[in-house]
Amino acid sequence: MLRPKKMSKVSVAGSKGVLEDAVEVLHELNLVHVTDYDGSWEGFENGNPLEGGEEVSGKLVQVRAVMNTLGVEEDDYDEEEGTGFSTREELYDRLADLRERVNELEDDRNRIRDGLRDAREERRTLEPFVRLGIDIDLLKGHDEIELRVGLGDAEEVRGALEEADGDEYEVFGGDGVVAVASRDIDTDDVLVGVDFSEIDVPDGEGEPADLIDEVENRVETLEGELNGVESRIESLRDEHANFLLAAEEELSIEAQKTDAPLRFATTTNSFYAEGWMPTESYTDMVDRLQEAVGDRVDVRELETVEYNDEGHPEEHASEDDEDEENGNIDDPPVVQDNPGAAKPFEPLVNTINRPKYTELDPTIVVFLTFPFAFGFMIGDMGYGVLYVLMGYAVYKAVDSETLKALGVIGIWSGVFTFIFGYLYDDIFGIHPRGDLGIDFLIGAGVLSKGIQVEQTALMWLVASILFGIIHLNVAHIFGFINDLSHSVKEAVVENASWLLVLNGFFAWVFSLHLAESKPAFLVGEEAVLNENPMFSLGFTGLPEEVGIAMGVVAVVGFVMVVYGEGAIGAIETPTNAFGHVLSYLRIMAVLIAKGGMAFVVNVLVFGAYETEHPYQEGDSYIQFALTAPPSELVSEGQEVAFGGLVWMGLGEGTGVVLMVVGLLAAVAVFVLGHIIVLLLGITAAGIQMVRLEYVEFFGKFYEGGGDKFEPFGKPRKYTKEGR
Amino acid sequence: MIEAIEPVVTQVEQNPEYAENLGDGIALAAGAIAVGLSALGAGYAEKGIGSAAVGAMAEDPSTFGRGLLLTVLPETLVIFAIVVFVLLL
Repeated sequence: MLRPKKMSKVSVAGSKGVLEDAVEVLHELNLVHVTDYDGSWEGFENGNPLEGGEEVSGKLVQVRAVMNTLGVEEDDYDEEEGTGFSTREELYDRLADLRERVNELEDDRNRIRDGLRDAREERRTLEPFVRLGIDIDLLKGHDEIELRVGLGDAEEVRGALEEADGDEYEVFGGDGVVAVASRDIDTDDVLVGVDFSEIDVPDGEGEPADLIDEVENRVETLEGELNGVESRIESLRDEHANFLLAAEEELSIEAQKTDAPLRFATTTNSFYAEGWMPTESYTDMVDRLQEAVGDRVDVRELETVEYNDEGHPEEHASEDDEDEENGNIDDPPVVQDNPGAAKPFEPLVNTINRPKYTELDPTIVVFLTFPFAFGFMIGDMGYGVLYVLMGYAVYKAVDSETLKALGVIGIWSGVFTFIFGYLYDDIFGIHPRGDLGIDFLIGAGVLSKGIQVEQTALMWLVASILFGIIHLNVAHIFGFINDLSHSVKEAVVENASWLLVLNGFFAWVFSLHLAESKPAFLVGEEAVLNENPMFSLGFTGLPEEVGIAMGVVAVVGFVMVVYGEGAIGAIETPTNAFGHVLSYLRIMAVLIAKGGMAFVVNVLVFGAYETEHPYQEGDSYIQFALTAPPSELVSEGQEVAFGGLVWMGLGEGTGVVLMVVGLLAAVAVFVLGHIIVLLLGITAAGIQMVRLEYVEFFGKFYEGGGDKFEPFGKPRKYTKEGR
Repeated sequence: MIEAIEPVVTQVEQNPEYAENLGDGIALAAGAIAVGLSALGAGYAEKGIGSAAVGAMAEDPSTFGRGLLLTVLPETLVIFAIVVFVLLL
């Protein structure tokens, strides 16, 4: 549960005659994470692909090229249609046929695109000559006269020529285009200083305007043709998407198999493969291999990476010692091993990093704390049901494993939101027991959110701190266990020391030592743990002596921290032992903020008046006016807090218009308001709790960086075994 | 200015209850300003981290977790402000 699955390093060796069958079995099992042979043993070479490998790889490249041209994506698969082939020959035939058609289309498309590009380029070069308004053929082919056309300012060019030697010239121009005709003038020299950049005169003759019309026509025709080709490509995609996806899968699996020997060590007549697999599946693999190829392969469990009594991994070779020659042994890939309910929380952990094989997997703690704290923060039966439905919708709608897991996390969070909502007596911010007097449900309303009563809010403040202390204790204990694998000393000075500081300090905070200078809600007769509007625990504070003793413990811990981590430990102490605990106050902050928002929405909609708390003696209570306008419900000495949109038009003599407007506004505010609270609940409670897990919790012990377990094999989505 | 606060001062001198209410009110206002300013600070700090994190994520989506983690770090500032506010109540 807290450890990844135990892994074994296994080897499969055998005669080359059974290589193909062995590969087939291993691929089908999809259980062995094959490690590549590095070519380091004398006499052993990396193997060659199996027979037919080249053809398969070639065809696979073709399929992928065709898919790329047609733009086939996974969503294009239609379950109801078949795959369009049943044998390898059929696949190849259909592929060849399709490839020819697609290549033709692609050639067409390229030709049209080239033509289009040329035409557009031509249009671009012709455009200045339209503005100049001189026939193209007049601008070239002169022997005596030098003619230059360019973009620039006609006046400036004329001025420059006037100053130059020689006076035989003419400047035509307008709209930013200039043509200069001249004889016996060094125009290169003259034009270098003025605003003139020369352009080439295009081919053709006649009026530029006519020429550009012709080019426009060509562009239009080509665009039409391009659309035609593209729609043909699209129809080809629709027709062949299933076939291509299935063929890609079939061939890539085949290619995986034929390429497998590249990762094995081989001699002329034998092969040897090594890899990692979960120890529990080992016998299964042996059985399957024996069944397929009998005694002609030799399967061994080279080593099992175990954990010893203290809980840290121990490496020893079982059965065989031959791999010791390989030198050091790498960490095995990690297969997390959590109970089904906690599995969806693995992606949440892996977002930071996959746990290493040698460290504890914190997924189970995230599973136990995340939905609980989320539910505590939102705590509302109505929202709870909606979160469950949203989570279920996500779970059903998406394919990706990670997003599915997110959906399940949503469902879990919704369930806890509902449970806490029941305890808080909240359904969309309305209190069935407090506002409607539904008072026969056991446990409903034993808690409240503390929006209205200060002592309750302070109780949640203390509860958040206690939750933080417990959570961080777990973190340091995890760190302690992880560090035991290095050395006991490291575990003690780097983790146990923090436990002493943290617990020692907060035990002193909750003790009667110097009680008069501590806030009254923490210790003493007025402490919320002694008595609060919801329950009384009778805790007024730890005895003074215990407080002083724990203070000393904290100081001892601090000295150990400084010893273990140096000056940096001293600087870190206030944040780690104090700041990080206070960080958990966000739980109480979100609780009150979200409760307050829902409260405001309901006050606007229904109106409210101040009265006595229906079941918590001595407290005041803002009662929603659910049955009649608040002005009718108040008794003497009570105050109306807000009239309520619902009741606005329902009084006597107010008219139909006001009634309709009031009711519409009430419905709009109620629906929109609660949607906002619901969505902000996800970002506020969700993100805040994720942060507590990632920063405060993981930060204390988690390293991560384990290798992903990638077994040799590929699950089939579109095709079946044996073609 | 002196003229403007004169009636307040007279009230404070003559009426102890008024003085107490005024003190409470000023404390609450101070708390509100503390929360507001610290939220501003947190927001400003997150602005820089957030844009860098989104940039890193565009390069390599697997940095999402660490990006989120670093982005929300300054939020603790507001939490401390809330603590101050609660203690002022």
